[in-house]
Order: sequence, then structure tokens, then C-alpha cells
Amino acid sequence: MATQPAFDVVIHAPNRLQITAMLAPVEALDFASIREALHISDSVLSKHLKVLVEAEYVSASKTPHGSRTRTWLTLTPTGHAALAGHLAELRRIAAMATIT
Amino acid sequence: MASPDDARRALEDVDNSRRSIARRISAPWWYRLGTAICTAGLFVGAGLTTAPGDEPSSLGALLTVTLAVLAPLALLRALKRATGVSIDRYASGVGTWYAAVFSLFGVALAIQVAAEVAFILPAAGAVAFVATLILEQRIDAQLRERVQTGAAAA
Repeated sequence: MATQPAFDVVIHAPNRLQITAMLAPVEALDFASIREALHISDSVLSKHLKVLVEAEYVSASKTPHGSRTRTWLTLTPTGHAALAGHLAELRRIAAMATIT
Repeated sequence: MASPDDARRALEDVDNSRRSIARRISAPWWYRLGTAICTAGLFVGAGLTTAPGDEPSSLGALLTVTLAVLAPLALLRALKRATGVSIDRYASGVGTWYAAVFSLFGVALAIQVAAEVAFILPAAGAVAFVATLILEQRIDAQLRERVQTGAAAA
């Protein structure tokens, strides 16, 4: 069944869209990998992840790594569905430019 | 609501960010070498347990368990920590490898036991070593493509 286009205000922010898009095809990414891919600071990333976690689109888990902990982020099924709908909507809007 | 240009830019950003994650999906040399050694080691372990004229070797059994279970788990864990990416490497694309390696194992075992020739399994293990190196390279390429296209994790 084709995904229903559905604009998602939580995901729409550029960094959050990229975060969820990076998480979709993997099981999990660690915090540092996402930060490096987006070229943003820890605090900016943390802020966006907080929004995504509160929306239950992303789940976070911590694992010990030497004397520190490492944070792993996973896209939840709800997050997958929201991202799929939002990407479908973006494609629909982008296609409008070729029609008009 | 986004304009068509905004939507197109957003989709390009998605592609770019996926590309940067895909670049991380390259198993380091130690992982490829480790899995190849595990595969070859299974053959050697089986060879030790079925060496003609000898009692079955407990060393062979220990080697087999270590290389079949413990070492691969440790390697996967180390790979995840090294790359920062957790992805199921073996979800697809390994059917041919399994068929080839298990067939090779079966034939080599049968020859070693029937003909009582000691070196057959280790020799077959060398072939399996190379096959595994090639497999891991192919898996990297498949995974990178999967991540870049955004196919959902299994």
C-alpha cells in the first residue's frame, strides 16, 4: 500500500528531517555519528533529539564505553511512519513544480 | 507548508545526510580479516576433531565453538562501536555465500573422513577465507546502497 503523504511539523525542521532520514535505514546510530554528519554542536543536536524523543519518533539508549557512556538513537515505528508520510508529502510538493 | 523549491532542497538534504552515513559503512580491515579467520578456523576446527587416526580433539571442538559463536559476536560488537552504526550486515545477500561455504565444508569433510587425508579441511578453509573476504566487501557495497536509498532497516 502506498504511503499517505502527511506533512509532519515535528519532522519538518531541517535537522530533524535529516536525523530521522539517517536513522530510517539502520538499526541505530550513535550520537557522535549524527553530530558529525550534520556538522552541528552537541547542544543543538541534543535539543533536536529531545523534541524527537518527546514525540516518540526516536528512542535513546545508553551503553557504557570505557569510563563514559555512549548514546544510541533508534527510529521508532511511529517515527518510521511519520517520516515516510512526510517524505511522501515533500515528493508530492516537489513534483508540483514540474506540473505548474 | 513548504514551497516546491523548499521541498526539493529538503529532499536533497536527506540524500546528502544519508550519503554521509553510508560512507561510515565500510568494515575495517580487522573486521574482514577477523570474519575470514573465523570461517577458515571452522574448517580447521572440524579438521582437528575429525583428523584421521586420532581421537576426536577437544581443542578442535573449543576452536569451533569460539570461532562459530564467540568471535563473530565480539567482532560485530567491535564493528558497531568503531563505526557508530548499528545495522544488520547479514540480513540479505549472503545466501550464495552460505550455500557455497557449507557445500565446500560438506565435500571437504566427506573426503577427509572417507579418504583419511588430513589436510583437506584446512585447504578448503583457505578457500573459504578468500570467499569471506570477498563477501564482506560485497556486503559493504550493498549496505551503503541500502542506506543511501533509505530502505528501512530489517
